[in-house]
Amino acid sequence: MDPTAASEFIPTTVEGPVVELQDFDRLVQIYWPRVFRFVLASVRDTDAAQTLTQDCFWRAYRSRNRFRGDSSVNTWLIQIAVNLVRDYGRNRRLRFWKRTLSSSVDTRAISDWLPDRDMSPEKKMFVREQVEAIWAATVNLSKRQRTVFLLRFVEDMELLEIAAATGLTEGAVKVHLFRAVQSVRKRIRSLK
Amino acid sequence: MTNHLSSEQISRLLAGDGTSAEEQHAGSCAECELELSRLRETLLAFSHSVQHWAEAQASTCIPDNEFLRNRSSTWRMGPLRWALAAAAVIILILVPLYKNAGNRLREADSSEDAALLEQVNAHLSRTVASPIEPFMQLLSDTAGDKVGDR
Repeated sequence: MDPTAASEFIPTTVEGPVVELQDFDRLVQIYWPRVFRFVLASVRDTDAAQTLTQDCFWRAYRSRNRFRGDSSVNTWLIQIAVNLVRDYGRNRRLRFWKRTLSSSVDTRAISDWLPDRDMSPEKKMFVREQVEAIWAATVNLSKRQRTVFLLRFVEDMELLEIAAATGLTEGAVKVHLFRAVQSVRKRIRSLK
Repeated sequence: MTNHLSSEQISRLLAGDGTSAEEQHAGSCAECELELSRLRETLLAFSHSVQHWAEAQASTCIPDNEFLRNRSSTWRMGPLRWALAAAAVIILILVPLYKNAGNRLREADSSEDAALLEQVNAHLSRTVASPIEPFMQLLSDTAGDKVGDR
């Protein structure tokens, strides 16, 4: 079982979240890819994503004694990452770079990583265009909509987990997710 | 009016906020089911692309757990850092004060030196020895009187 895969189960109930924290080195190895993936998809900058992921684990390490196990370790780490990504967006010094980045998002970059499944060239081209459209649509989503969208469809988190990680109610998560899906579908429809 | 799910209902279903009636319809209507499965497939392809992309990026920055220990030691060094910074600030304040005090002392010394030098110069510039000076004064007064009598 690969705990780094978004769609697979993370073994939080096997050991219990508090027990998991006792071997922090192992915890970093297990959860780093997931946290890094979420942060990278949010900020779209490898260096920034690496720094923020490191900050995330550093904060978790410092406050590990205060973690009571109310949520899974994954949700707890994603919660820290969500806050870091939000602060990164607020940082005035980085606004210029953020603007530059958002205006020059390379939508092709993400579709280059499409899994090489058995698809006809036409089908592959079609899926590729749609993936590019989703990637481009997420740039224009509000911060909350983007966060909720990525947590649901990339990290495969449940609505309640997303609510715990973002500090929103389940109802608010549904509303943000609905709006995000609507925007993304609008973008996909514009391809036709 | 059609019997199919509206665009909003499909989005709500994707967002996990569909009603049981909408879910039932999606399960029984081939057209709506196809629309939903196409969207889910596209979202899955997007998810896989992001995952593969992130994995490729992460492979260039595999975490070294040493960063936690390094940061821990940095964190412990925090108070020491503050103490060093405070010492540097104190030094920066005290050095100019010390320099000013030194300058003032040097100025006082140099003015004393100048006064002493003046005294020495005055002493050396005398034309007669100091014991004879009163006589010389008397002579010059007498000479002055004579000039006055004339």
